[in-house]
Amino acid sequence: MKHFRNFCIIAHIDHGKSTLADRMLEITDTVSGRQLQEQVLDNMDLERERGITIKSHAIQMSYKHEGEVYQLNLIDTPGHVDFSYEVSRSIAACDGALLIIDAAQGIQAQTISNLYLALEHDLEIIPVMNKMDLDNAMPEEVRDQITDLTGCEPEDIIEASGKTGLGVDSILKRVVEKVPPPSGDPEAPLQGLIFDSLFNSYRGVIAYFKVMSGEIHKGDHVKFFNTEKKYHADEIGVLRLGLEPREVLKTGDVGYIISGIKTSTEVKVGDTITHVDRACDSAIAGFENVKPMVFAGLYPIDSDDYENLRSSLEKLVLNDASLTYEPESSAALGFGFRCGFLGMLHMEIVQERLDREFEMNVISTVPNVSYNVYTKAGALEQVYNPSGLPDVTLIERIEEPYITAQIITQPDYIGHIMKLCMDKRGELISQHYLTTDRVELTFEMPLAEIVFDFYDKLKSISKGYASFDYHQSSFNPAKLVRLDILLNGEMVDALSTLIHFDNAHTFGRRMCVKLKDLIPRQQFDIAIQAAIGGKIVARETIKAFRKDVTAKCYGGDITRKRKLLEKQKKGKKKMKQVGNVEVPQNAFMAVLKLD
Amino acid sequence: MAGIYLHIPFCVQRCSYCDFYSSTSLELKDKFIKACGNEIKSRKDYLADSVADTIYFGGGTPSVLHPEDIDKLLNIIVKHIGVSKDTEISFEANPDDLNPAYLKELKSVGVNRLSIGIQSFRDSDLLKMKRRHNAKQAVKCLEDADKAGFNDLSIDLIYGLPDLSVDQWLFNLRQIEYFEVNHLSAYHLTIEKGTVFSRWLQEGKIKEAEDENSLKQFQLLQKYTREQGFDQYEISNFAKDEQYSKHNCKYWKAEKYIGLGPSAHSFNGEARHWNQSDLMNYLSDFKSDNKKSSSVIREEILSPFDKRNELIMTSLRTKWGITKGEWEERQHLQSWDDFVLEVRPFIAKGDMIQNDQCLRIEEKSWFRADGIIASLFRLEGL
Repeated sequence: MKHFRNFCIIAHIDHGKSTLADRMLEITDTVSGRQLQEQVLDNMDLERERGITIKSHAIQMSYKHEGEVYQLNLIDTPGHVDFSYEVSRSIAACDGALLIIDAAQGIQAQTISNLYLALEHDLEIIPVMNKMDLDNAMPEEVRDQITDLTGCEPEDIIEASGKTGLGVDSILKRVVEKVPPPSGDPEAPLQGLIFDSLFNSYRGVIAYFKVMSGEIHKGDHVKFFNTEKKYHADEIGVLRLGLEPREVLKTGDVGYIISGIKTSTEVKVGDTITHVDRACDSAIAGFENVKPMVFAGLYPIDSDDYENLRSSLEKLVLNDASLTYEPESSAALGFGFRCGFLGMLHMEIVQERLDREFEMNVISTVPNVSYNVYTKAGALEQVYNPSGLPDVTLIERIEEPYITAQIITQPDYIGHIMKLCMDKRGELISQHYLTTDRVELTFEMPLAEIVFDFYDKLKSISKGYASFDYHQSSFNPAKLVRLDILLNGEMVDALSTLIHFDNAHTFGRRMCVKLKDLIPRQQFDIAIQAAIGGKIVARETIKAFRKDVTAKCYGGDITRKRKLLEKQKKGKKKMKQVGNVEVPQNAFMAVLKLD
Repeated sequence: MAGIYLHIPFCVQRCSYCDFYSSTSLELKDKFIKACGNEIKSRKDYLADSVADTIYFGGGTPSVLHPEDIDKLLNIIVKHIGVSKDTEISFEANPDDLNPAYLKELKSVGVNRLSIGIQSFRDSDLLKMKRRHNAKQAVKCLEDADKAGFNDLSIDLIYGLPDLSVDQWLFNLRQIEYFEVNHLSAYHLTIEKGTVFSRWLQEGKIKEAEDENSLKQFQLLQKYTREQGFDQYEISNFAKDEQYSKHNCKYWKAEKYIGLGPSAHSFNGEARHWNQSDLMNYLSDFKSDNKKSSSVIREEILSPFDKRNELIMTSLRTKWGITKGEWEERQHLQSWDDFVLEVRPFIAKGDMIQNDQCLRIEEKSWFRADGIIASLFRLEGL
């Protein structure tokens, strides 16, 4: 046990975490140069392309220090606010953390909240200033930020570059010297903390876990504490470049277990593995059932693809237990699914994976959060779909989820960011200078307000110099209404939104204007109306076209004319019929494109 | 019966609306005539057993050619491809080229139908369109053509020009009354990419005509031509006494045709071919007459879907529509009864009608024909 070191990396997207990790794998001969397909840890295409980690990963390295061989387990964590629960579980499995800060960009909001999380778990922090090779690196300034934030001494900060390999050996040496070995009791009953899982189509779910106490042998009869399901440990092992089976994993080990589990929903991140016979008394603290925060309808573009979409979602859920879905139907879009996501990035990723891995193109409806609706009859209903909102006369009150949002920016942008957050019904809680040119703003604001239209705005008003992090804080009363869109008097259910009353009129007007832009002229006039209850609050008209013909003769060039009309037909084919109006797909996402 | 099209790729200057292929290097004319002669010889078997009964000189500007050259090409055609006795020989001409002497020579080499690019009888329109001629020349050439003994006269007019009012359009139409014109092609302006109009549109110098205005002009066109005894046999084509353009009808009725010259299109019943739009390549490709296959020719073999779509597209633009017989002969994807069922909504809306075993678009709905036709298309894999 004293030769184990378990550590994770805390870093902002793009601060060079994965490249630095790759260098560590190289230097420890864990992977050869040939095996090192750029960034071993991010092994989903999507992760590599976007340079972000979506799933947690782990890898074991052997490192020789003063004549002794140490097993270092690096647990890589997702770098986005949507996945903060997963991060917290990875952190709980570690005893130390590398705090990696880009020498050119300095500290970002996400880094701070994860650092606090690491400190809460008493992790030994090893500060690293990365990308020292960059011309625009500003080591002095960033060094100040790091010492301010962590209270470390300036000379404790390791200067590194994933690109040149600078400092990589020092980092590993420091890990061995500073990160304490795991502390659990080898004699106690087994407690294994699951910090991630992935799905393999041949072997089922592979759960990653850390042995917090006791030990586990191949073939043991185990149970998962929170799900109360029992399995046999068909295979256990450690995570090197691939899976390496072992007969036993002892306290402090990080490894995997394969036990014939078919769906990822049975393996919950944060759950505790223990023996059936000699079970531990309690589960490892901190377990939560991950709940989706953002909901949207996903519909196949071609309604014939409904079953394909269902099976694609089924497969996605196998290795993404945080995605939820249930059938719903829309008059405009046909049959589809109401899906729950951890956040907007998660939603984007799901859509992109559907497209790439299953060739499923989907239309998504306006995303919304989940509301607590208290009825006059005294019941509490969770409403996460505009059509699920009970009739106003039956509603006692509605509560909406609030978040604590942390934004770190430069003082120049404070004004603009304050205005943005106030417009989004935010309340400033604190303003705190981290250094002279770095300020942390904390707001309480409704989650619904950041679901669309927030990140991009924040990015543009701060010219990219603002980082953002949030966690859910409470539920507060909301003046919520349902805003409906009507086309020629016919309600388009897929365009309905749940929205705060104060924003409803403006929003309705903007929707109408945008839709006028997105819906092509047709053979008759189209009235676009926004309505709250029975009341019309905005209206636009699309005039009918009177001409839809190319009078010109292309001589014998029939091909050209045919191709033109084929294109027109393809355009029509992609449209959805609402009453007598043909609505293009992108109109359903109008709300995401409001200027 | 089959058709022969010759594309004469030369123009003295480019018109603002035109995106047909042409070159202003008129010094290449002689080389072109030679190459075109070679193309005729090397592709003489394209029409196989079908006998040609139409020859159409289009462009570009055929009237930049010397009558001797026209004669030369016609002789090669007659000798190598062969044509029927009463062949329609149409010739597109610019009004300012049609002086009495030229007209006389055209007649003598065998041209029996003129299609004159009048476009407008108003100087300001002609200027905008960068036409070479003026209104006076337009009038004069029609008188001269009549005098030269051309009985089959067709004129081109363009409406839906930026800023053209309904009254101005009526003025243009009314000029027809003064001449012995038995055919009219009236096209609504389409602003094509790469044209001067398209540039002006981008620069905000012109605005596209409003739909409402375009429709009024189209309706006026229909009403006026009807009163004058013209029969609208295609969306943009009008004829008196059934003097339809025999050649153009081949495009709509899927008869075979061979297109000669750069950018010209051919159809042999199964596949479409077209020559590259590149005069220099064309000239080098047809330097001699023993070419078996040419690098300038492109091919598209029609799929069952293409055949069905083309049948719908070409037929529904004409007054004849689609008959059950044609449907069953020219496409095999769908039964006639099923197709009738598919068009039923359009019949219900009054956009189409069914007579006996024939389906067609109502004349009043022709101005929305593209939308109707596109709706009836079927695309492979969709």
